[in-house]
Amino acid sequence: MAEHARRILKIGFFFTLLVAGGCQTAPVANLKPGERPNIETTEAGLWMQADRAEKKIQRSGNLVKHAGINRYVRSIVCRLSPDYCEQIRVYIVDKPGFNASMTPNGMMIVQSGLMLRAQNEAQLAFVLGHEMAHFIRRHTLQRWQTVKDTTGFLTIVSIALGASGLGGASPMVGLMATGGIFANSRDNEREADGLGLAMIVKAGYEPQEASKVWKHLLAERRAMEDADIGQSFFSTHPGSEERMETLSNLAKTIPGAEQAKNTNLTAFIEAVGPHRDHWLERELRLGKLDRTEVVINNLLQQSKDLGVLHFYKGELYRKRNTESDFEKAIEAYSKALTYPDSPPKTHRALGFIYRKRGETNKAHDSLNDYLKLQPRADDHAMIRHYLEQSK
Amino acid sequence: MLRVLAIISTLVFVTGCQTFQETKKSGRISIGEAYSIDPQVSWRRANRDGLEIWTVDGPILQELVFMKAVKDGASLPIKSRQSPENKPRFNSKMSPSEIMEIVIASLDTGKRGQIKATNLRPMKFGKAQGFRFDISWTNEKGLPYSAIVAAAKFDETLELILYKGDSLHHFAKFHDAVEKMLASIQLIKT
Repeated sequence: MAEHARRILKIGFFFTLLVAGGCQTAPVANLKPGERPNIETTEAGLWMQADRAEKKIQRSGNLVKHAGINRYVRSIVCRLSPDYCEQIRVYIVDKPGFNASMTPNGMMIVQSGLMLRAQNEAQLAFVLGHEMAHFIRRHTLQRWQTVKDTTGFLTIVSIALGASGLGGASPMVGLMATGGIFANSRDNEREADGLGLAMIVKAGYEPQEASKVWKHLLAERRAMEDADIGQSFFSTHPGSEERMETLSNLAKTIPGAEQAKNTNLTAFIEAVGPHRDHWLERELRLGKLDRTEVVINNLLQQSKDLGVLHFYKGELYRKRNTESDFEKAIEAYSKALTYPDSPPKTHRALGFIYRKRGETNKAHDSLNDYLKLQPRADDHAMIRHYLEQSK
Repeated sequence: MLRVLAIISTLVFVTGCQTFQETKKSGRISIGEAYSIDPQVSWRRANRDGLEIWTVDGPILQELVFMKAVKDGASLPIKSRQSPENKPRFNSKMSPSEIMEIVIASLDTGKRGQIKATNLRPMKFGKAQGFRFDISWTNEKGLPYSAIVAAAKFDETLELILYKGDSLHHFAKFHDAVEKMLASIQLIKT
C-alpha cells in the first residue's frame, strides 16, 4: 500500500511538472488602439458575450447616471491612456464594497464602494489603470486559453494515468492543474498592477498612492471577524499584503517617480464628495459595521467632508447598538454638527437617541431643529407627530 | 411507467413550491392572530418561507406580503444578500424611522437599484398607532417598482404589510383596493 502511494506521489510530481510545462500558452500580443478581433476568432466570441453583458448593465437600475461623476472618471481614463480612451466605456454602478472589473470588449465597471474608498485621484487612477491593463493585455483571452489548454492537457494525462493503472492519481493532477489556472490568473493581476502603476506615473500621479489602496483594504479585511486573511491556493488575486508591498517597492524605483507627485485631491473631492452621503448609507446597509468603521476612519484622515463622515460614524454606532455605542453616537453626531457640511438629518438622529433615553426636552429641540432646516422633509409628518406627543 | 412517475413527481415538486388559494372578495380574513382585514378583491393566497403572500397577476407583477408577529431580535423574512449575522434585526424599541431603515436594508438585495423610502407618516393600524411609508426602486432590468408599507408594533412584535408592484401598471391596478384594505384593519388582540 505504501509502495503504491509512493508511486502515485512520484507520478503526481512528474505530471505536475508536465502540467506546469504543458499548460504554457503562446504569448498574447497587446490589443492595439482601435483594434477589434476578427469575427472568426475565439476572441470575437468573448467580445460578443461581453457586448451582451454590457447591454444588461446599460439597463440596470444600479447604474449611476450622474453626468458629473461619469465625466470625471472618464477624464481620468483618457488621461491615463489617450490612445485607448475611445475604446473604453466606464459604467459606475451603485454598489457597496470595493470592486471594479473589465471585460475584453472595453466595458469597465466601477463599483461606487470603490469610489468611496479611494482617497484621492491618484488612488482611483491606479485602480482604473489596473483595469485598463487587463483590457490592453487581453487577459480574458489569456485566461480562456489557459483554461482550454489545461483542460485539454488534463484529458490526455487522465487517459495516460488510466491506461497505466493509476487512475487514482487523476484528481490530484486535476487539483494541481486547477491551481495552475488560478496561479495564472494571479500573475495577470500582478501584471495589471505593474502596468497600472506605470500608467499613473506617466500621467503624473504619485505612485506611492497605489500601495495605499491595498493598505486600506487590508485594514478592512482585518477588521472583519470572518475575513479569510490567508492567501488561498484558489485565489484569483494575489493577497492585499503582497500587492501593497510590491507596489510600494516598485513605486520607489519606477522611472519618472521623482516627477510624479499629483494626487489631485481638490478635483477628486469636488467630484466624489457630493456622493459620499449616499454611498456611506448603502455601505452601512450591508451590516458589515466593523469594516465600514475602518472606511470612515480612513476617510476622516483626509479632513474633508467631515460633517458627513462624523454623521455616518454616529449612524454606525447607533446601528451597532452595544452598551457604549449610544454615547459614542451622540458624540459623533455632536461633532458632525460643528462642521458646515453636516446633513440636517444629524439633528433628527440626535433627537431619536434623546427620545429613546427619555430626554424629552433635548429630543424636542433636536427634532425641531431638523424641521427648521427641512420643513418639507420626507418624514415631516412623522416628526410633527413625535413633537405633538412630546408636548 | 417510470417516465410517467418522473413527470408527476416534477409537477408535484414545481406546483408544491407554492400553492395559491383564492380568497373571498369581501368579508373578513384574519392575518395571524393580530388583526383581520377586508380583502376588497379576490386574491390568490400562498404561504412562502413563513410569509403570507397575496397576488392577483403573479408575485413578480404585484404582491401583497404580510409579515406576521416579527419577534424582537428577528430579521425581517425578506430574502436578502446579507449573511444571517449581518442581517438587520427588528428591535421592539425601534422607532418607525429605524423600522423603515431595516425594511430598506432587507430589500436592498443588490439586484434592486435606486431604492428610496419616502413619506414616512403616522397611520391608524386598526385602533392601534401605526405608521406607513412609500418605497420605489428599479429592478436589474431597469423596470421601476413602487411599494407601500404599513406597520405597527404590538408589545414585543411587529406586524407589517408590504404591497409592491411594477410602477407601469400592476402597482396601480390594486392600489386603491389595498388602501381600502388598510383602512379596514381591525385588531383581534386588544
